[in-house]
Amino acid sequence: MTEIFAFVEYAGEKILRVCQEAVSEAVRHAGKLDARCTALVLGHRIPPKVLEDLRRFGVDRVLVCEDESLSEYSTERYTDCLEQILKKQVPDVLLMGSSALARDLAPRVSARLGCGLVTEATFLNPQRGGLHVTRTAYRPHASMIFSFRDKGPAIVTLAPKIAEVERVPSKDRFTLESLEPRGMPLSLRGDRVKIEQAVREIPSQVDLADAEVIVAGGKGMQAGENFRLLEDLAEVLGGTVAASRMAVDLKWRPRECMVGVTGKVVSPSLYVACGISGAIQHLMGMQSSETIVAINTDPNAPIFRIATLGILGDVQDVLPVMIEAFRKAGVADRQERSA
Amino acid sequence: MNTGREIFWNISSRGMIYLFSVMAFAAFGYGMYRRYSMWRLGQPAGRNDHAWTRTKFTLNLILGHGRILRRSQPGLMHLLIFWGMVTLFVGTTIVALQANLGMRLLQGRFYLYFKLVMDTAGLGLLVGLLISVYRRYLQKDEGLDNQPGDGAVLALLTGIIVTGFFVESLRIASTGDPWGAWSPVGNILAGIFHGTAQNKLNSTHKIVWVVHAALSFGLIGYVPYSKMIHIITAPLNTYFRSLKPTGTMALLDFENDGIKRFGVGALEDFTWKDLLDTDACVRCDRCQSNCPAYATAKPLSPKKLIQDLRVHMTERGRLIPDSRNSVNNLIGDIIEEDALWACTTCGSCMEQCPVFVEHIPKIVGMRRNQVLMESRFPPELNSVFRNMEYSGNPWGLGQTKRADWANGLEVKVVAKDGAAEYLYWVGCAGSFDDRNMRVATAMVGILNHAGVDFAILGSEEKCCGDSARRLGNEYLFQSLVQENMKTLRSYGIKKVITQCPHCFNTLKNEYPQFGGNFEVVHHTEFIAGLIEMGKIKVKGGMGGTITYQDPCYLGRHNGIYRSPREIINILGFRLVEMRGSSQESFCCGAGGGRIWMEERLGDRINIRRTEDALGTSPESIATACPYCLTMMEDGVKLKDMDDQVRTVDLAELVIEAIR
Amino acid sequence: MNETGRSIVITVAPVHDCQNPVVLDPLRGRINPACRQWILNPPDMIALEQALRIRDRIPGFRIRVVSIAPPSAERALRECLAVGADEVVRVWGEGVEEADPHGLAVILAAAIRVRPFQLILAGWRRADVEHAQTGPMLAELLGLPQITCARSIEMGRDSESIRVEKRIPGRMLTMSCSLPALVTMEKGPLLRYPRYPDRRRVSKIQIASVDLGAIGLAGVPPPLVQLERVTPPKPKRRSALGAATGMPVVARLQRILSGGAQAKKESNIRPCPDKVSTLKTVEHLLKEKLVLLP
Repeated sequence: MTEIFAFVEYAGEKILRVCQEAVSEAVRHAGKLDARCTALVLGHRIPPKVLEDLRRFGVDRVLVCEDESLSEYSTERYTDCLEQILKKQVPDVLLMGSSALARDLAPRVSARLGCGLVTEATFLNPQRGGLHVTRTAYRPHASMIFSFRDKGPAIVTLAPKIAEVERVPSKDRFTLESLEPRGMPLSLRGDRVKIEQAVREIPSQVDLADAEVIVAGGKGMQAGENFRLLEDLAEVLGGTVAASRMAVDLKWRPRECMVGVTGKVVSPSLYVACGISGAIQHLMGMQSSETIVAINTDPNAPIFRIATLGILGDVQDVLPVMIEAFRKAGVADRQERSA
Repeated sequence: MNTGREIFWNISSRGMIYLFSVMAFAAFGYGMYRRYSMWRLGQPAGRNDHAWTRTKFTLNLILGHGRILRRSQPGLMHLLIFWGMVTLFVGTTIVALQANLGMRLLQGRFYLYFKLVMDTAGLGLLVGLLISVYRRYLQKDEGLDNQPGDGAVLALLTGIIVTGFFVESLRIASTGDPWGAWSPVGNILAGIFHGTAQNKLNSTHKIVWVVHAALSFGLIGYVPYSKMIHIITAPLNTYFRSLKPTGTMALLDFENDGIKRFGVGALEDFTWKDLLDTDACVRCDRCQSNCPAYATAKPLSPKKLIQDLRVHMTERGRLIPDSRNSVNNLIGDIIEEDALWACTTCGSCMEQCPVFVEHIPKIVGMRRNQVLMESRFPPELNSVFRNMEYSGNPWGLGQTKRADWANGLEVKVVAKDGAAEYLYWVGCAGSFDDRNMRVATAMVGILNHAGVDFAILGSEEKCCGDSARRLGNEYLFQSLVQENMKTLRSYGIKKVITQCPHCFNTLKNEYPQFGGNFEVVHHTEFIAGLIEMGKIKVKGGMGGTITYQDPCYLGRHNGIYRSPREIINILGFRLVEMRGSSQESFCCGAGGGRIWMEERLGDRINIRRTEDALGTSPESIATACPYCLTMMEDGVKLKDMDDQVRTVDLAELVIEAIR
Repeated sequence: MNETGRSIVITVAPVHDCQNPVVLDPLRGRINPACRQWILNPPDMIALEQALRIRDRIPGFRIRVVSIAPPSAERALRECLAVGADEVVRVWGEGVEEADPHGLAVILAAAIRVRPFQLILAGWRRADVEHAQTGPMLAELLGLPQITCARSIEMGRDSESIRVEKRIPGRMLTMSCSLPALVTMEKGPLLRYPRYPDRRRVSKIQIASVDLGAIGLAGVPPPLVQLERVTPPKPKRRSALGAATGMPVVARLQRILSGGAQAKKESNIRPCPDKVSTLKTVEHLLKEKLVLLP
């Protein structure tokens, strides 16, 4: 029988979003192939809530490998552990969400086992000869489609926000199994890599260059006080407020908030440009953003050339509506999740 | 008629004058030799060409005073002082010839006119000196930094004139000179002594005569040690001035294996002409008064730059080196780094300087050292340089997309359609900057309307390299030029129309250093020509007040002021010139590579200029340069006037008038 | 010469400058090689700058650049020498263009292990294809501890260990690692600008080139993944835009086919006479998961 594995990471009692997407995708994929879908969790004192949640994704089985040596991520320990598990279980496909951990772990496991890996996948297409996986390449100009050689599981890390997270009725044949890889504790070589310190980032102090969501204002904001609208929007979206050079010159925002060639170069997944015309030095500072939403009263503003979506209107009219809409959606979303 | 006077009347110790003269000329000679040996610390400058042109120009300037007269008060003052001194000097030489060679020159009618002329000259000189004293100490002109030496020279000259008049008047009073009326001043002064005993007059005369002689020869000896040196160095500097347009930088020969240090890292790396410049400078302040960096509180002062170099040169040129000062670095200690990078190369300093000091080549020379030898420059330039090298434009946008702006327009591309009669050189801004793409689009419309056969290089065009060179990255500049020249040569390009004055200046004046031989014209010149030839029919009467920002690289550096104004006129606008236009135009702040740098110090140059523009209450601000367009438009937006005032390139106005 | 054998290896890849589009050969399903605009991988250059900074602080390290690159990349590789690398080794052979990330890692491992080293630094991914696999794979093949996506790296005075800063969402980690090790750089200061005398000096240096045989490989290793074909960009979203967006069908279709973020003109701009357009935009963003609410 075809086996699809999904690798699950958790923080506290929550499963990482990108892993939720991977699990859902694995379930769907297994459904298409009439295969068995297993969620694999490595860790220590895994909260029961996590396992319960996995059940509601519709996996057939949850494989748990718990050990004190797995409580913190370590490349070598996790690689050794996965190596043993995959050699024993022999799945056909291992699906991971493309997280910081997966970026570190997946290639190592692939080289350890000598099996193929495609990262940041956007599309999984089971073909007769095997799995075809699509990913972007020469972004944004092309896509590449890969297939796997025969050996070992096909490892795929899924790009974020590609797959839908679906909660489905749990499977009747659901099982929960515990694994104990031979020779625990792992990695007798001892830890060559140590974490000396982990400092929590305060969300409001995240550096612009690292921010996932940025709400930026330009001359179209018309006054420094109106930036409070941007702050509200940023709060709703979980983002940071930035400014164009005009806004900085008008002293509406300090220079550290300036996005541009001589300021900060950013690449968030969402960039909302409010009242920013899009002069070239600004564009070069944010052009690699995944999604760009532009709000401007000038239809000829250059920002519209690179925006994913544009709204022709005054920020003072548009933003309050937008904030309210996102707020409502957020409330609905939270209600749904806790249900 | 028997006119004349006894030279050396009442003077017994005429040996003194020979003693004085030997001392004076020795001091003068030694002093000049010392200065000369300091200039020789510098590198060769290659200014020995075109001797006749240089001589003519120098004489013209000395006699006609040229730039000095651009400002009326100091101009008049200097005219009086200059002609006063020259006349008196010539007169004194005539007297000396008579005294030493026995030539009877002072006789007849000539002697009478001689007396009149000399007195008038002396009076004129005195008036000039009084104007100077007034400017420096009463009016307290803010540009003049008064040093003790300035006062000393004025005092000395005044002393000479006053004692001279007294010598004359005492003699007239004592001898009862029958021709006294021909020396009006002396004659009037002689009235003071009416009634004084003759022996008293004589003895006073002797004393005053000696004082006058001492002061006069003292002046000669003092020349090399004071600002009076400019009577030698200013004409010299004028003679050796650069005959090339001011926007041209010297070529650095990278093939020369003998050059170990590129650019100017130490005083000796300057040319001797650069060092002579520092001795010709009289601190008149005209370079500084219109300097955009200085006006906005940047650490750069063109005057201070030259003067600091002078002090440094004097230190370095000492016979016995002072070890304390020998560790001073040129860049860092003598010249502040921030000052070096604050320059926009607008050329106002060089345009205004009456003695043709060349400020920009010194700054670019030092920038070259910093970039090429030390790799030390404002950090934002790292990616700008790399982008120009790998992508052919300062933003790092795709080279292959350089022609995308022309999609959907009727434009021929040389690679596909072959070379046309004209090459339209679009430039980086026209190709990639949205605002400027509209100017390029307007140009295409105009050229097509006029039936001009033109094509663009498209993705084969690379940055002309202007910013690279002005920023001192001569290596990058030359590699860009080589690549562009290869393309231009391969297509046999002969005539080029540019949209940007910087591209215009570089292609026209600097590409010939690399074998380029093109007829380069700026779009305003070309459009004005098309209108004149009737190839473009514009409906006039566009009306409205307009003001025009003279781009530094079109106006000052290349002397094109008329064509843009012709266009404005033909279109029917009412042109109101802003404060400081044409040669006195104030820079928008973007040149010299500054547009790629952060303006961290002082005020914003473009705001200053925008205020000048808005001061004319215009409906539109016209420009002819992508930098000026960006800077002025930003300035208008910052002043929140973008609803009332439209910033626009002349090409955009023309295309509107055509339709 | 470096007798102590302390050296840092930087792996550098020539990549396509994605500011320029690629031209596809639809028949062969591959990129048309003529359209490639080569640059040296920017993250690798960040890694090189880190190595240079380590050496600035602790002189005595030899910096060796290993690059799998065709002969035409030599000019670009010279820049590595001009900024201060001691040696550049260029590896090339028949079929190398077709190598997959694992194959590249095998080749790099073979080229690197010929001499001892303390540290391997690389960019965390290539700027064109962005696999982000070769670094960790190389660490595995050489049996080295790894730290991926570092922000800064500091060499201990004893040159026995390194201190690395790494950011994961929500946290800034400070990690230490014993040497030898492999670190991939995610972000960092730009590579320094070469001085002209150094450019001149290196213009005459011959860049060593080795073929696969010289490093002990019979040929390009068999790939673990097979490139089936290169296609025009596919949209990340699999769901089509809803009817509520108010865009004409043709434009919507174009948007889907073009992947959603290319060639914008007026089709994506909606006038806003009322709240409707804003609401539709919000709806679209949420539906297409272009926005994920916290």
